[in-house]
Amino acid sequence: MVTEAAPLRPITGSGPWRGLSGLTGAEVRRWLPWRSLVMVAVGVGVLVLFFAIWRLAGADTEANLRLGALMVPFFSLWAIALTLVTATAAQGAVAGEVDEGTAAWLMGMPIGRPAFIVSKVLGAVPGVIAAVFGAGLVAYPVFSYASTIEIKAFATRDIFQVASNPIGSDGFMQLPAASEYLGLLVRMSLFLLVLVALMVLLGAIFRSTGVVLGLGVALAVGLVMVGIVGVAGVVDATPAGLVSGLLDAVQAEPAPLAGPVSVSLSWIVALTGLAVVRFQRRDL
Amino acid sequence: MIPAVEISGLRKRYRRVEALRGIDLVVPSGSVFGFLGPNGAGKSTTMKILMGLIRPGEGTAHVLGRDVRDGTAVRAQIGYLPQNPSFYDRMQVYRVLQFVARRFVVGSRQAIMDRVEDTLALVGLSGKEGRRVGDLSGGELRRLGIAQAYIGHPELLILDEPSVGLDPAGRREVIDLLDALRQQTTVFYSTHILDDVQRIADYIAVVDHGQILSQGSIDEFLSTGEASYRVGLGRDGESVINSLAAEPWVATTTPLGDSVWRVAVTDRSTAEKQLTPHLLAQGAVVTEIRPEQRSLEDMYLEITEGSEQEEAVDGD
Amino acid sequence: MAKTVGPIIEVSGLYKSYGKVEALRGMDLLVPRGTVFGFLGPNGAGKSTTMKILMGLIRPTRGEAFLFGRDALHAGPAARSRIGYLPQDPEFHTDRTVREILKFAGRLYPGGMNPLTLRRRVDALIEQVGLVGKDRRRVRALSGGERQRLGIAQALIGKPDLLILDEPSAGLDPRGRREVIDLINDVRQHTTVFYSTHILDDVQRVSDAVAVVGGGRMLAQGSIGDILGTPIGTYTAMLRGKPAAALRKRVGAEPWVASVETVRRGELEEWTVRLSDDSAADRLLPLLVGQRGCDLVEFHLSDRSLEDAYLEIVGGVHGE
Repeated sequence: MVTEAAPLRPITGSGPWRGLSGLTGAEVRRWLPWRSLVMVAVGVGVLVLFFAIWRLAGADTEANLRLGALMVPFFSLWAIALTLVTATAAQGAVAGEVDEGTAAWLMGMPIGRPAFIVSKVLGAVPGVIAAVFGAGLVAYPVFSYASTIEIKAFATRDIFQVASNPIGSDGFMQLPAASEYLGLLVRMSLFLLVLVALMVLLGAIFRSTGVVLGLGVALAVGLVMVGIVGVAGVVDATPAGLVSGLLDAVQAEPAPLAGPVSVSLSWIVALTGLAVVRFQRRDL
Repeated sequence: MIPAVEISGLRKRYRRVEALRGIDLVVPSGSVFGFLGPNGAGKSTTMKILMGLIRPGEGTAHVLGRDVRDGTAVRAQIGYLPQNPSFYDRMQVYRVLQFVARRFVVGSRQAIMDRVEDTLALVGLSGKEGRRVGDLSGGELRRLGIAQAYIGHPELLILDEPSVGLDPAGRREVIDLLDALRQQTTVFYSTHILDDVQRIADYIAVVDHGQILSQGSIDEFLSTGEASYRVGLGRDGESVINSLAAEPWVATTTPLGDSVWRVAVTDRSTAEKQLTPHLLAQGAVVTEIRPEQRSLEDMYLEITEGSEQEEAVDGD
Repeated sequence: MAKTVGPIIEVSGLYKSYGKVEALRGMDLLVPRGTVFGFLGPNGAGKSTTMKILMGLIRPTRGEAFLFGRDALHAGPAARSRIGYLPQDPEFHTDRTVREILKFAGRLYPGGMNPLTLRRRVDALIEQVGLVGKDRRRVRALSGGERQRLGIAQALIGKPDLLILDEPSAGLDPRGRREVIDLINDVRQHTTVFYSTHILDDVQRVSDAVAVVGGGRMLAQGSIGDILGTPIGTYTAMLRGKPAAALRKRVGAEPWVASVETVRRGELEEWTVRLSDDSAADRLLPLLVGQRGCDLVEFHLSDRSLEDAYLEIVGGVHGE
């Protein structure tokens, strides 16, 4: 059964974006499924840790009766862990490929340099979203379940309550409403994508992956600090707005989403754009 | 015909180091071109500039008639093997080739896979398509490197040390492969194995300290200087040799041993036309006629000698 | 110094396995005293393993090895004081200077040398390996060829009777390789040199004897002449221009011609003609001369290079 395949034709046209879809596809496969699974596992691990703390210490004091009280520290720790994992995963995106020589291999093909840079950011989108929503959507029912029961009443059968009580139903959810919670996850994903874009820019500037990782983490931590304690005007103009909104949302206080999202998207575009400009002039 | 590569006055400076100091180079279309020179002479830099990986300083560089600054359009015609190639280690071999093929050609999945299969067969990697790149041996990795360079059927192959680190069998495979490709494409490659170059290259250039010291066809390289032949004759060789001495294009004849002589000639092209017919006309039994060539290695060492000393002066 | 006759290295039935991988499967080797001995074989054939066993760096699974006629597997380090060794990828402290490295190597030799002797020895070596004027340079400022020469110099410091060099010319450009070869040539009067390499033309240039190994076993050993054998009955002719296709047919049709192969080499065409009757050699040349459109520029018995012989020997076991 021999089928005569249509002959291959050479590619036509050229331009800075040639190769974008192929590279993005390859980049997506680097994040999905393994990196994302690791990130989900990190989130679930932190969750299990807090669940255990609650089970062991919860009975002691009135304030700790509800796991919901642990939600703010959980999200803080989870966000820090994801920041570190993302920074580590993204450090090699450009700097590592230049260092190992795969960048020279790719750029020796008819692939535009801008396409290479942009694919590194675009390719991270599905993986980061999957990682954040994967663990986030596991955490949601756990917290909403835990916030309804007292520790003394805990029994194995309570677990089934989660299944029988639709999430967000009246009296069951005292923590963020579903829409607010989803907004929270969107903020977190966007923050990580800003970080990826930052790592890409640093990779386009510096040769050493160590420098890229160190600076990337330092800048990310700086953004978080600005988000927590910063001047309102500065916060609004930077992706730090995502962080302060995140804290509000965890505490079930409605926070604006549209503003920080558009600001952060502009930052991603700006950082990526700078990386493209810088990488154009880079000797490989 | 447009030359495959045309470089003139190319310079490149990295901060304090001047890597290229005015390279002029022409690689004729359809040739196998050996690019020689010591480590650090500027071979890789030149090749990377052709591939758009490094920005040229002064001067111009054209590949197949296009300026290398033109970007992706230039590279669509070139297959490239970097000096220390590294591909995505976790990708399977066929995936790498599929990925590269799609950067150069468009067509059905079926057609792409056919191309991948043909290319694997060409480099002798059939049956290893499912291996991960990271699990390949050094020789297999080189072959994959050549496969991915050739899979788009480019008009020009630029190979940076395709046989470095290979054992003799691996080197022979690479040489045979380049020999097989010569009908299809121009091959511009760098190497340190001069005997391999002598075997397959049509043209060579020797570069050192960022300058071309010499370039030309390999015949020109090897036949420069005084021309002479080693001639072996059967019975009555002595008298036949003596009769040669009267010919105007023969300079001297010297016995080298039992029935072997050196015949120095004044004009190689006349000698090529007349030497053997003359010997046969005299009724000689010719056992050997061999143009005495200096080896490419001798030539190379001679050419790079001067620049070596220059370096010593710079260094002190 | 005990002058023993007989081979300087003798290895028989050496086995070595790393887990499931069998690096040596019954290696035999005989290196005669006073030779420059080339140790050839594909990557992974067991060359480095054999050398390391001789140097006492790893232990074989079973088998015997003798150095200077004495058991090398159970002897202490003193047995190796008469050997200089250059590992495959020598690592030097790149901050040290050439002179420091040689002094350090000299002090390591059992018995030691007094400072004056050591200095004289180091000076002599620096001159011998052509690093004069570079002895105060740090290793990292040396070229690849200079580093290898430094490596050989430190192997030579104890005036060894045997020099074991594992790929001394790997990664060097032609000039660097020539330097290494010249150096080996220099020391051959005093020292037996046992070295591995992939550059067969270098071997053909300096070696007296070679061994070809593959798959952890000895495949062939002997003098270069033994390995090459004598070519008979195959002739090479170079024709400039384009010979008519009929010529090849005509030559091929002769009853005394077994086969004709032609390969285009630029303006030349290379003919390889195998004769079924060697005495017909004098009838071949006249057929090729005086043809329209081409001149015969070369004619002789086909050369057999060490590479051809090597590939034939290794051919059976090669393949990854």
